[in-house]
Amino acid sequence: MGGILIKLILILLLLVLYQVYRSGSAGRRAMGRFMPLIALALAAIAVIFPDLTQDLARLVGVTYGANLIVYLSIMGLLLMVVAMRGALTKQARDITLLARKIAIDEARPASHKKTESNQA
Amino acid sequence: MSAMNTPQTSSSIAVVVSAYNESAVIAGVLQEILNLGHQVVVVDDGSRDATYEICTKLPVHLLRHPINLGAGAAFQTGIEYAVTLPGVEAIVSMDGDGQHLASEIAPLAAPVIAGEVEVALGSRFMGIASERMPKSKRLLLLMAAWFTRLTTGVSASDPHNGMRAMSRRAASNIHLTQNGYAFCSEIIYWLGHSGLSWREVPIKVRYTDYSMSKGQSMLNMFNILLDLLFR
Repeated sequence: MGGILIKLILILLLLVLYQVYRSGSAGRRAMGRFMPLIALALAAIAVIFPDLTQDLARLVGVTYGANLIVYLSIMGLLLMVVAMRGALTKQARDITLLARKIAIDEARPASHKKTESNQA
Repeated sequence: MSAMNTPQTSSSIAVVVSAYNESAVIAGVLQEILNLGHQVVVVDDGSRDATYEICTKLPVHLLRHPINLGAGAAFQTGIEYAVTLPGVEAIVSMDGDGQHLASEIAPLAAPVIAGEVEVALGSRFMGIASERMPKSKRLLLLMAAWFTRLTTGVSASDPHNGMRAMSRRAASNIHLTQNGYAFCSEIIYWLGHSGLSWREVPIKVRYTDYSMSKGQSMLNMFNILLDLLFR
């Protein structure tokens, strides 16, 4: 029972990852939004079927299921930090370009002051 | 300090001045440049003091970032605007804190205008003694030069000197992504990969209490290093 479930979950995960890869940035964005839900679902499965995590752990060479969960959590957090950093860097670049465009579009040319001086 | 007394001669040199909270000195800095007849492009990098208002009283091209972005972003904005000005042959960058001398603009831009090189970098380490340069600052700059040489392969004696001149063609090709002070190293990197001709020109820098209080600290070196490593 446990072995079949593990295979089903792995196949499901592979299908999801393949779909994300195929659909480009929109898929990755959707994945980012669904990630907390997926993590929650996996946590629920781990609690309801504790043997499942143990079997999965042995499958990948980890002694205890609890250890596997900790390792996966750390990996997930690191991935999240990298993804957040990438998103923030892109956002900062976009803000810079926007601020630059505003500055250039609204520039006061030197002749502006000359005209004021001439009128005075 | 009246703008009415400022010479209005057009110049083939546009001087890009980046300024952030420089209300104490900016008028004097700009007036020195204007007195020499150069065009001036001021980029107010989101100052919270009266820097922008002071600049509006002078015949300068005035740009303002809606928020503070950093010296690198201000430099790139100024360059992008300056290349659109008619008749400009050389674009010179200067800091707005008064450490650079307006009298150095023409000698720095001369090899660019003469077509000898596309870029001229100001250097404080080519025989001309800068006024009151602290030893810690000298050490910091030498370390920066060593690091830049290591990472870019370009051997410039003073890569973090804010005074540099470039031709319109060179300026049109520069697209910096570093918003902070790491842009100085990015320029050297760009120079090494662009194939453009360049030369260093000795310049003098005057260190005042004011400019030293606004300059880069030792700790900021780590920021620059991290910006370059994780860009």
